[in-house]
Amino acid sequence: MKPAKFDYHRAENLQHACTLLKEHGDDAKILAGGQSLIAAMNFRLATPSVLIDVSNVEQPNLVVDEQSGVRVKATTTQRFAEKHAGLRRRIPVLVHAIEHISHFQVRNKGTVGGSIAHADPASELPAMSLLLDAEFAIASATNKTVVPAEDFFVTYMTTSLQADEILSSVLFREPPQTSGWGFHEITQRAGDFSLAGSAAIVDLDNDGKCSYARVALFGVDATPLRAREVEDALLGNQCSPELIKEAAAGVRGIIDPETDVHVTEEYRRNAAEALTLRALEDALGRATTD
Amino acid sequence: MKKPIVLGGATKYIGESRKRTEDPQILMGQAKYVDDIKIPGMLEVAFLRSTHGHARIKSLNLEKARQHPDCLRIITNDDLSIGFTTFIPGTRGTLKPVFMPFIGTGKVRFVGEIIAAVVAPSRYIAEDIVELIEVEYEPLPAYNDVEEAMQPDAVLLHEELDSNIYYSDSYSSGDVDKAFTEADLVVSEKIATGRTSAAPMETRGVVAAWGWDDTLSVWSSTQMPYFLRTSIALHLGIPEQIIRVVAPTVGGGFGQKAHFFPEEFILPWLAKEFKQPVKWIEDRREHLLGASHAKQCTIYMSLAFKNDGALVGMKIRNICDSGAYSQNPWSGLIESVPANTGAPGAFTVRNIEFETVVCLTNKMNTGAYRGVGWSAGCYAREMVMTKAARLLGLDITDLYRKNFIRADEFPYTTATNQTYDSGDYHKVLDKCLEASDYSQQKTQPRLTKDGKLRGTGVSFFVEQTNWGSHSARESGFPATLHDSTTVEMDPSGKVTVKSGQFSHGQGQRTTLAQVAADVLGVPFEDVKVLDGDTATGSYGMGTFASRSAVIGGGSVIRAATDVREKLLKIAAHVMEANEADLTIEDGEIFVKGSRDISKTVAEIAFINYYDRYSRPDEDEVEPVLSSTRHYDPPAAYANGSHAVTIELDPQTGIIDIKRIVAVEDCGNMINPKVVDGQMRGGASQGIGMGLMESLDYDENGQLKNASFMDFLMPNAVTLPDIECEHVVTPSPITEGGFKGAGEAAMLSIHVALSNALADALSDHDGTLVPLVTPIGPQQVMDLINNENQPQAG
Repeated sequence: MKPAKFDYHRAENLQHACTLLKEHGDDAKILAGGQSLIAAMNFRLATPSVLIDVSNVEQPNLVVDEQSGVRVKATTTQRFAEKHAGLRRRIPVLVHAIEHISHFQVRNKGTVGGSIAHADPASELPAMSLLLDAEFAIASATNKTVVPAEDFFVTYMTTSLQADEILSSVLFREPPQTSGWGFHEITQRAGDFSLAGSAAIVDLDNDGKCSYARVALFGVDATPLRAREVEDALLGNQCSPELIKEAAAGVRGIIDPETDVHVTEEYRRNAAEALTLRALEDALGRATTD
Repeated sequence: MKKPIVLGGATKYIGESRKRTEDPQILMGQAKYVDDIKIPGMLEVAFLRSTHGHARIKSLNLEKARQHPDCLRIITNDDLSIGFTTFIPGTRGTLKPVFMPFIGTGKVRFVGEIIAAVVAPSRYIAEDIVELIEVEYEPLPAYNDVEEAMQPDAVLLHEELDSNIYYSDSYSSGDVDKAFTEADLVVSEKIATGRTSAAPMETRGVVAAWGWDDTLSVWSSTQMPYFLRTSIALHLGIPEQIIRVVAPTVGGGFGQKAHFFPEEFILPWLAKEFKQPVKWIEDRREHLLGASHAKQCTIYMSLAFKNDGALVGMKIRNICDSGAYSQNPWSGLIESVPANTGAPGAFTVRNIEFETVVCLTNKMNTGAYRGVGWSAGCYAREMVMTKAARLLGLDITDLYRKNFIRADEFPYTTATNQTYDSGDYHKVLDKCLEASDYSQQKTQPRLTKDGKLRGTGVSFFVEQTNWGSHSARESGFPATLHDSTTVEMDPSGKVTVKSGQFSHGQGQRTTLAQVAADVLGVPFEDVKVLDGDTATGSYGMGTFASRSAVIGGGSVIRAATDVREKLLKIAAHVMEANEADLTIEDGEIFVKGSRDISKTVAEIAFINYYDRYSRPDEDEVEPVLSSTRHYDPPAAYANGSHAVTIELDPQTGIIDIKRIVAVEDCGNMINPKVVDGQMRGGASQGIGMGLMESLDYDENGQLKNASFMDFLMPNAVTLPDIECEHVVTPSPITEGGFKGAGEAAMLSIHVALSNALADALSDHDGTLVPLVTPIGPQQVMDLINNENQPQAG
């Protein structure tokens, strides 16, 4: 379990990283916190010949308030984001989700951008980016673009990022102020990758009808998923226990889970439904009508 | 049999919960492990391991690898002077030989089997070179399911045999047919226990160096330094006295490091052959693939009962999934044989028949791991008993009480010819039930207000301990196992205990010192225990199988008693007193009842070494303050009980353990804190076996979870505090009245856990009883959905 030989470059800033990436192209991998990449390299599942380390750029931890939400620099550690008071106040579900990422030792090194770009379908942050209508700022040596989260995740650990592109920051949108949230995942031990997970945000109008709904699932498909069918079932309706139960059951048809060494596809299907119901119940409990 | 030495009532250190002297170095990161051994010019070794579960090696091409500029050596089976392990002490003649080659040749039989060893300046480079070796495999059918491998038309793993079954036997005692015919209830189930690994924090590792003076030094993360020395000498064909084996600090073993592994031969062979120091540190993937596995058995268990709960008959067929070879030295007998000989447990059942089957599959070998055989065997018996209790309308504790061997029946010889020395099972069970509020728990509603299901389960065990020759024989292994210890007093009156056993977490550097200090009457601080080094110890088998307190402690008692007697003889001469009137306390020798005239132990020791004019004549008392004594004790049987309270999420199958109570009777305790540590550690591993640990192979023999990401073990956040209680019935037959304590929880806690699960589901269906380990979320949901058929393999 020792990595194959590789060259190492330390990027001083985003521009430098982009230049290095352009130079080395397909052979290079971006190294941020290294909590997934280094393990994959030790197993020789990944054998990049060049690593471009972005963890030492100027001011790697940066969380900035914007009108529509909170922008998190990609190199920000999960632990920094988790401890950020402003982020906790504006988007509590995000901080709650980050607390579920592995153990704090891992979050001390792991980065927000790294987890999203790694795109493990069972991990929390990619699903959070869908739940929170996130926008990804993407840079290359020659170009800067913005990609919505829904266009980013392609399949297992594969994103729409091109070989010369870097995820530079993530804008997580702030949900309506009166909305409530719920987050549930199943792990056999705290800190493990989830067997299945579901998160929801719900807001109610003055009549108590659902005016806003977001549901995102993880660990139950090749990518994280936004459950629009569930959202649509709720929008404009009084969220009775019967309705949310029926809406949550809607996840069964839209996910394509796998059987693995831990649980079966059917287990995940049942779990996704149960967790979505719990997330919706929590979200409704936290939402205020005004 | 000689009568055991009974220690005086007023022991000062034995029985004291002392902090362990070995802990500060470990906790502060100062302890040295094999990986900390650095020798100038040391090279590193990496292994090419099979990627196929079962295949012929059509060709092995080393050319490209040898052209790597940093490749120093590559060796294969052809290079070795001896291909197989030949020293299998204490096995049975009817066990067919299916030894593991040190390096695989011709055919590989499990993923992870060694095919070649590469020596390079660093492990990084060695792994690069391994990747350049070209192997052409011709895949053969691989067996994951042991019952498929047993079929007469199964492809043979070892073609020289006529079957993949390489051991079977049967036994019958009493009138089993009559018992079953006359029974009111017979419950028969198939139980499958999962494949697990001890997976200690420190993996295996070996450093070997050939010295300028033609000596061989070997550092290994082993539990058995002397056995390893003997094994290396036999296989290398060199005299044993030129070999020194050192087990430095070892980060856990749990039985898994009580084996002789191929790597422990290959590294010394390389060092001897090429006269260069070499190192190999196992990585975690290698460990899960290539360090012995444990506990995977398929058990058909039928129990016969009377309506009052009396257990009148047992029929067992225990099939051990042995993996690809018979693991040296305990062999493939390691699971099923002790499981069956220990089948009666705490109960008086007299009519037993069992069948033992050991069969090969394409997996890493099954070896020793805390609670060998019994973890699976007890689980099978107890789960069937739980089901029977439900069908009889009784609580499991009613069945226990009905069938327990009573305190006044000891010594008690079971239907399988094990002689239990002592115990008070009723008292232990009562204590456990009381400490866990069992009856109160049972009256609470199962459903909690947040939708969880509450459950409480209890279990009881009898553990055969102190594996010397007698315990081994009563368990079915005609092995010779014993230990010797040297106790030596130097001119300053300080004491060195030179042990052949080895503390790799058990705390003997503290507990053996407690024993020696008490016997000699010197302060604890004046005793130093040396272990883990064949250059400084005394020949012994090592530390495993709940043996060290009894055998190590007993041999210390014997040797320290000799030294004490010698010391008193000299003191009597010096002090002109009657030897029988003298005693020693706190390092002071004086006439009993009066401290007016006294000498310190240090004064007498100094006189012994440096004042021939004051000490007795040498012909009368030899001036040697040292004794080496052997001990091979009769088998002592510990017992205990567990209670576990859980909350189950019925929608996800997740079990949250709320409370664990453990009660143990291991006789006189040398250090209760150390016993508590064994109870907690064992309970943690038992919970692992019961709840989450499973090495899963696919149909091609690939291990699907060869990393700690997917092979789950309990961690700090999984477990609640484990509350420990004690009952003490001293063994009447061992020195000091000790019984072993090391493995206990792994016979029992997974049973209590499963009983708690059955209890949680009892409103749902009163006869639902788990029949598999581990019971992860998937298995729980299967149980709820009545799909809990054990899947062998």
